[in-house]
Amino acid sequence: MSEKNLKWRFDVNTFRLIGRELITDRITAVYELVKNCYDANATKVIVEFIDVSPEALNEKSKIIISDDGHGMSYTDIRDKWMVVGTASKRSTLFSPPPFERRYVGEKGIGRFAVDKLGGHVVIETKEVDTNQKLVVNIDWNAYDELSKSPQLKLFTDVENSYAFVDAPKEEKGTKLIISSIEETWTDLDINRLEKELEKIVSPFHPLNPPFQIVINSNEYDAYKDKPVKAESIKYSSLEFKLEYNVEKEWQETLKWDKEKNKIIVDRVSIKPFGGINLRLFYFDEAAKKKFNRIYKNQDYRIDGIKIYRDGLITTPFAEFEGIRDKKRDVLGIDKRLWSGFLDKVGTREIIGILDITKENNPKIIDSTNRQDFVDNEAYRELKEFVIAQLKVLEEFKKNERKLLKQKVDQELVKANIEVKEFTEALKTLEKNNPNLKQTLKPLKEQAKVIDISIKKGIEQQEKERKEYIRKENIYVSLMSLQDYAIHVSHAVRTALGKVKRMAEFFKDRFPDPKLDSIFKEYSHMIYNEMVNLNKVIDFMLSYAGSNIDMEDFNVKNHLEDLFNKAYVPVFDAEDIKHIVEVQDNFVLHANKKFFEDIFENLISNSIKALRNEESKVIKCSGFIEDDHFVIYYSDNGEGIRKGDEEKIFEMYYTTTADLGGAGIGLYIVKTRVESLRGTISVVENEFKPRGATFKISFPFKK
Amino acid sequence: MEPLKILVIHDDLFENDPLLYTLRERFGRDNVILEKKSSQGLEYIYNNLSSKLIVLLDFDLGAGEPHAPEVFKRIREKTSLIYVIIYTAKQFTAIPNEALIDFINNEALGIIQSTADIPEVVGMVEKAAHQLDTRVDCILEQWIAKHSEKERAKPYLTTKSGTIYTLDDLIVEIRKETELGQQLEKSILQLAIELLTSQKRQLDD
Amino acid sequence: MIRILIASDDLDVRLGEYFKACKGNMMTVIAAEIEEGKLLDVEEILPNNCNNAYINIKYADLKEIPFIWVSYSHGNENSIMVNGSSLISAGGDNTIFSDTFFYTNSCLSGKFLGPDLISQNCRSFIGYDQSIVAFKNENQEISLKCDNVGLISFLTTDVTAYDAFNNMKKYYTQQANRLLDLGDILSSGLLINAREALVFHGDESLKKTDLFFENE
Repeated sequence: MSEKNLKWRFDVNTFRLIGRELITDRITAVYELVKNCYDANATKVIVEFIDVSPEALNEKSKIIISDDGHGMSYTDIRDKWMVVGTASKRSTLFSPPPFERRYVGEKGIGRFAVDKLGGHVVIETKEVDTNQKLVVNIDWNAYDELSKSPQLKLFTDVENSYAFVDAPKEEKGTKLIISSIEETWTDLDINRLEKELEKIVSPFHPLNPPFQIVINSNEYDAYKDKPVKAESIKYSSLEFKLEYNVEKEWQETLKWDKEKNKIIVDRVSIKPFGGINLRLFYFDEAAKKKFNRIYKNQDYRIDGIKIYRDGLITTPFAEFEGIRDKKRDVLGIDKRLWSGFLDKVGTREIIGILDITKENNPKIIDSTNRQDFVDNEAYRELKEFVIAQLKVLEEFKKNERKLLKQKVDQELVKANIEVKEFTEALKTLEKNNPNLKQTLKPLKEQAKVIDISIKKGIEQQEKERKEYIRKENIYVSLMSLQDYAIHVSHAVRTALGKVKRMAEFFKDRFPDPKLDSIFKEYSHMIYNEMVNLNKVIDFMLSYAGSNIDMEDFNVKNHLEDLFNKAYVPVFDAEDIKHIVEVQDNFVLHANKKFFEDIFENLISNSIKALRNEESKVIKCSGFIEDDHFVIYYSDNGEGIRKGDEEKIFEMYYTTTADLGGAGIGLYIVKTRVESLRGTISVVENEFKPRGATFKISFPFKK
Repeated sequence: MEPLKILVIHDDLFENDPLLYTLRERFGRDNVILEKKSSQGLEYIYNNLSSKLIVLLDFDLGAGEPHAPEVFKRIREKTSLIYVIIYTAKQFTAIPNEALIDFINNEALGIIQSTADIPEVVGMVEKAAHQLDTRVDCILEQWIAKHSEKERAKPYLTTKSGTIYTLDDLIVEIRKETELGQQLEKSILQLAIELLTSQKRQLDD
Repeated sequence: MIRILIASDDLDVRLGEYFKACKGNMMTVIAAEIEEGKLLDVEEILPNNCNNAYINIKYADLKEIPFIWVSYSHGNENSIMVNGSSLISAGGDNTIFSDTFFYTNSCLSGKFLGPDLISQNCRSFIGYDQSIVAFKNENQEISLKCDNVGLISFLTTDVTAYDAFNNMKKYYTQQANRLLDLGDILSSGLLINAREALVFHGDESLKKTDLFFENE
């Protein structure tokens, strides 16, 4: 047995930083490693935990992941495992024959995953029909030491030993023996892992050839060679099974029956993306509570819709993300909402299993980076189809709430009437039998108290409805702020970085006559940056002071202020030329913040529409026309697709989801305009042939 | 020999930024180039594929300009010999995972925040420069550079598949990682191993 | 009598000159041997005749007798290329080379063509299995000698084909060392590179005498 060395080339600090970012927790780490086994054509993976409980953890504790896949050669280890940059060179989407599996693992992630699990790893790997297995020894702790060094260190500075060891010819596969385990694994942790691993394979579409995962623990009885197998989904409040038939050319879809106020399964012709099987499980509040009670607060398991192709998970692209908000929402379900109480159904209320096949859905194409599907007509239609199903659930949800409210209202009103009737009856009784006055007195008082509390109940009900609307308003305006906040924080960080570098320069070099001109230049720039920062912060603070008070303001002055002052940093940052021409004075009695929201959202939209334009223009003009004050708002961006002129004002309608468009902007614009009793519409574009023009019109009462 | 160039692609730096000033002091006034537009930065790279180049690359590069992952990809389409360091105001956690994976896969040398101290940034660039300097292609280039201009312009070799190369042409081949360039690198390593082992043989004799 | 067939791609725009020079050198050596009374019969295939059909028809009789094939030309993993098209290809009918000592300086052909010829009863094969580099100008002589030295030692001394192959490697090493002494590391490296690309396939014990046949 001869020992040799293998090296890595990469900045240690960056490497670890990236590792921590990519592999946020241990579950992800194991998940990634198991996916690699799948890609290596394994049919069986064993995830073994040895002495990992809080009581037992010691230096001999181990996590062992072994598979019967095709193994790695020395060159594989050297050129793929050890080199940081090779994954992009993966030239094919499929694993070698005979399995030809669609790759699910992200190459280059394995080593980060191992790092997350423990400080030391031994890789034993063997290809079939070879006489030796390769054993590589990697000590992450050595890297850790390196990364503490103040100087830039590269992985070349650490050597990993390896050796070839004789092994039976027919043996194959890879075994990762991870030690120096830092974090303990309780049975609950392993249970959480099991639940995640279950998701790799569709419960409704068995894999062929098989891929079996087994969890083994020497400590927990529940995990003695336990095969990972998806459990059926229980405790949902609604459950649907949508199927298709290729010969008869139908696809099932959900439909809201308005007459009967219930969900029905309807048949439509097969969609352009091909037939799909979809199981949907909807959990209302009560169902979620029950689920949580039974599964010990594992509500993260209600996690939205996953797409499986030929039985294997594809989206959310076979990744486990521990932090909910970082989950990739490829279907755009949660982009449509930012709060549970807006009658929208989000990923936290549904479990969906969408099975597609290579054969029946050829137009749904994996993109090469395996982060998503190729954005084509078919995939867009598929996304729309899924959202359409959710919209039906939303109708159901809305109806449920309406029914509940009606019931409560009716009962309150009924109780109110009954109490009144009772009081009347008492009065009549007292009139007819004056001697009963003393006896009836406590009853009368009691009735009065009840009457008051019922009235209070009704008031409370009304108050809550108003509170609901108020909260909705807050959320709506917060959303419009989000984009702005991203811009602002980037601007602030950039400015601070600049100022810091200049200050640092002063600190290190001042005084130096040779550098006088530089010092002078820097001091001006520091001053200017500070003035800029001040402006940005003032504008941010202006939001803090806003409330829903109404006031009188001159639209002409206010528009000029907005376009020539407040928005200038945004225009400058985006290199947008702006024109504002308001001819007539017009006083509006309204909430100023609401009015500003209109333009803020229009501009935010324009920025996206202008992203590919060479010279960018935004124009805003206003004048009196008959009995209306009219504002035309135009840009020369990519414009609005024909036929979309109405749709764009719908909530959650977005054509720029990839740019973070939540489809809320124009909805806010429209609601705000309407709250000012105005109207807004898309009219013929001013900057033909490019661009879009909105006409906003406020009624004018002299 | 051709000096090392540092190309900074960053839309928020200005010509006299202290970082650029310090880099110029260290690497020479004309060897530090600032491009505020990534499209122009790419153009510079494409026109200087045969130069020794380190790129400091911002993440967000302003509206309409290709951002870091795209720029990176386009550099790597042409060469893997240029070292790229990501230098950005963007918080590490705000960089999408896909972009991070792309950075790793395309061998970004490092990622550094624009709020970092200047010496930290310069240190990273120096390390990259050192790495560049000790690489086979650079050693070869240094050797070629020792020849007179006249010698370098003379036809030096013709491959069995065709073209005639001068020593100067060979530098370009190596930098552009053509088949011949890679063959040259390989051959020099083979020679090195040959020499080391024959030395060992002599010692053994 | 040993028959020798020599083909070279003289008309190739870039390397024609070099191939021609290689052939010239080899012809001179052979001529000297004949002068000394060695029973060699050398025949040159003119560049225009370098095509598959011509060889198969003209030299059909060679199927039955051993001979030495020498070619100077471009090549790829599967073929010897002349005039831009393939002259001999792996997978084709190469029975004409049964019992032949195949000697070529073309790049890459040692990879698949060599083994294919051996599988069709060719005796021994010397060639390159990677793409290699030949020098021009003052160093052209080195490349040329390196390319020819194997066959020359086979013809002029009593060594086996495999010894000839080793002599070739030795010569490469000597030349690389010489260039290194002159400070030309690049050329030296390329020679080592070419040496590593040299391959031998087939019968290692083949000797000149095995290729002898009685001329009627």
